[in-house]
Amino acid sequence: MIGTLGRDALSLLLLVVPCSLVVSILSAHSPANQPLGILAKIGPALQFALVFVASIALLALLVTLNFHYAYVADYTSRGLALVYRIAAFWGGNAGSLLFWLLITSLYAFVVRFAPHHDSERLQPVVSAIMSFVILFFVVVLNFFASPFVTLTTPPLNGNGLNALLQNPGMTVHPVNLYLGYVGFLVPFAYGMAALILKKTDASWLVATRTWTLISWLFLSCGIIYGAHWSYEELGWGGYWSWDPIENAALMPWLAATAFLHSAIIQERKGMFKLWNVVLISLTYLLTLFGTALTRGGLLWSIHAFANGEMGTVFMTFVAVMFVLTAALMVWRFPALRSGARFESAVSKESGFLFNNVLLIGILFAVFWGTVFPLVSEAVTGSSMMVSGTFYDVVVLPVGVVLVLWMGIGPVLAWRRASLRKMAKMLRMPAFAAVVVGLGLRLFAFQGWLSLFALVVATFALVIILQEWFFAVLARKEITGEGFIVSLVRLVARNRRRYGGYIVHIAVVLMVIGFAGSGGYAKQMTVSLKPGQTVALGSYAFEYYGLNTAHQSGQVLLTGTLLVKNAHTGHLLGALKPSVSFFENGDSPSTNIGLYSTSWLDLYAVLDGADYNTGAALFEIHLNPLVSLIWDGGYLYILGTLLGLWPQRRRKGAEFTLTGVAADKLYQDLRDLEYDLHMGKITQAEYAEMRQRELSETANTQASVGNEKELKSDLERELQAILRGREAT
Amino acid sequence: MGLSTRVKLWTAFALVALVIVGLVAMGVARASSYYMTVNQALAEHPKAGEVLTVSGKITPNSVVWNSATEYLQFAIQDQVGDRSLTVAYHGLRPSDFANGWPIIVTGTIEQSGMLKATNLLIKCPSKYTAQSGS
Repeated sequence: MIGTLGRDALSLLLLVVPCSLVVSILSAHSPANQPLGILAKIGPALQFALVFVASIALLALLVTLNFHYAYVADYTSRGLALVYRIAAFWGGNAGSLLFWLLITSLYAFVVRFAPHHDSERLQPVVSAIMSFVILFFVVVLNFFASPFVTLTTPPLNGNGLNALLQNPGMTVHPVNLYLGYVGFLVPFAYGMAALILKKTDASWLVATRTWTLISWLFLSCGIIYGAHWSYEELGWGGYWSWDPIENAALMPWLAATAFLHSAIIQERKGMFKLWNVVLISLTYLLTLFGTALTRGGLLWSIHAFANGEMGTVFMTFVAVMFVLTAALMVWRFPALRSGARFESAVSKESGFLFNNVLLIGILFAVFWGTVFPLVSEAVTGSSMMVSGTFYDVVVLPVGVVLVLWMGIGPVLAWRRASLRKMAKMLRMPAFAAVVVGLGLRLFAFQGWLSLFALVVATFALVIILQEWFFAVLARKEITGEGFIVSLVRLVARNRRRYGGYIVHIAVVLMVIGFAGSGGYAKQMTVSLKPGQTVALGSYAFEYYGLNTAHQSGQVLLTGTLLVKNAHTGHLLGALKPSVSFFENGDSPSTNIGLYSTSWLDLYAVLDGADYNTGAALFEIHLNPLVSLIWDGGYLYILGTLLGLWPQRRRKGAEFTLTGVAADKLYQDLRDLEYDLHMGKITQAEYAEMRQRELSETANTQASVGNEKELKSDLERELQAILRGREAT
Repeated sequence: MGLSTRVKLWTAFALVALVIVGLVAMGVARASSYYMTVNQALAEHPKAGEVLTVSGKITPNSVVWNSATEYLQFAIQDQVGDRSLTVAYHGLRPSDFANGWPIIVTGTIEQSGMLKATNLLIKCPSKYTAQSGS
């Protein structure tokens, strides 16, 4: 029996995972021990193999609709399409935990076999940490939420998957979120391993950069896709409602975004060591916290619901991880003292820190709003909750400042930015922003928040484009290439920077979408008889009539609205919102009628109908610029992928400096050169800072020999690197 | 030399943190409401005019909807327990409104003990709870 096999595999994991954990710890302790090293590699492989067997077993049960198993009976039914039988794997509590375990153990397996700088020392510790987390899931799956519970009397048919979840989104949205959530375990485990080993340079960040970016990308896709799904499926006209479950996904995203930015500073300047460990821990703990919220029924109803058990189990694990992480940080605090200081209050370094303060500020506000019912109950004894207005008042204004800062950030020079030069570079973007602001105030004013959002979006967009344009011009001047060639090579050789810029442009587009749909939407609810017309904005909607169609297992009631130009009466098309009534007694679900252009979404919902008169109740929304959010999402993916695309590596062996230090020096000098060409610093400042970079690097490498000799070596090697670069 | 870089930065960040905390406090003052279950709400014997947010599930077969006047009336009760609270709402009937679904209602208590709702928040049933077999 395949189900027994799955259950046995899960039980066996109770033995294998602790062994793997112990072997990893021993191997970390005595790295020279060869047999132990091999065992430490078999551990993660065996873990994954067993979880894989259990997952295949559950999938087989679901696909064959084996109602002897409670999980299958709960989430599938006869006639359910194959794709949704598969999706039921992550559609319910126990299954989704197994899916979670599958990804975690896969990641742990891949990480163990992916060598990198200093991986011999780091990997056993990383494996031990990941095995610890895996052990938690294995215990939960064995004792609290087994997907292999059998029924003594199997039902004739299962309950079926909730109709709302029978949507292609079900194959995209949860999977993306899980991949993102789980992925942050890798940088977290590396961060902790680096702490344990007192290895506080940036090598853990470099080794996990790809993991972090990929996880961040999946999490972002999951959130954006979820918003899109809710917009098109739930039929309430919006895409985000500040629901605790939405916040549960947003909070780790905010922490991870802060981490992505501050990691750059540690990689390049050796600063923010403690802060980075805090941020990645926060990100990971928030993914666990989010899981606890999603499972526990902790917030939706604090009192009466029966499924609180999972919430308690997860909250306990969050607490354990929190205490362990905090204790580790306190223990290693002396090693985490920053290696460098701020040279100036206005610099790229402080700019990144300010970005972090804003992101964490938003995170704090969202967290506070989300846990407010719990906190208020603990403090006052009666539970209070905040409405969406709370987030509109708190989060959106800070978000506007964040977008403003996203514009200013790129023009800041490293180390020390000159205010005069910055003012010069900000002149044109500020002018464009003021023009847009005035135009909106005079001709299309719908409140200050959306106005400011659009103004700062313009400002940030113009700055990014201007930066890019000048960089191409600078390169063109140095190399004598044509504009297009310069542009392509510039991007190809600075994938991280321009990948980042593309993501920033995408975020600006999305902000324009948020401001447009948030501030400029129009809506009405209207009851119409066939032939009646109603106008909204510059559109007229004529109700054509009702139509009933019988499909497999459901009755589809459709109300047709003819859309016309309100001024000319010209017919533009038809919207066909409908309602599905299910024969199995499931709650009816609405299917919106949507016509989407870049500028405007026409969005209609059929709310009710009177069969006798043929009258129908419609909810009509005009949502401007919503498609910019989804298009921005695609650009966001593109930009992140560009940033992920590996850059060709220099061979380090022939040089005095290797690894992180060489990369850092090379990047620093290149940035300095970039700042010089872009007019952010003067020639004199450039020469001074360049000299300082070289001697600082020489100091950190003092053991290598005579400082003066090293400096001249470095200078020579650097020239060689730069020449080699230009030649390729 | 003026203030040190450290002092300047800390001052700036402290200011930002202060503004955010201020915003949060203002937001809580402006947009929070009591939140209780049906049993708690009934046990408190709320006076007419009191603003409450009550969570519960829609009592099966209690929904009355008049599309002409856009008047919606229904009862809510806790998942366990059978005491129920009648809710009246003027406005659009939410499109995913169905028997047994969890809902959060915000409104004022009327003289009759009915809750006159200003806001209805319907949650789609959690995908992590299996639908109860019909």
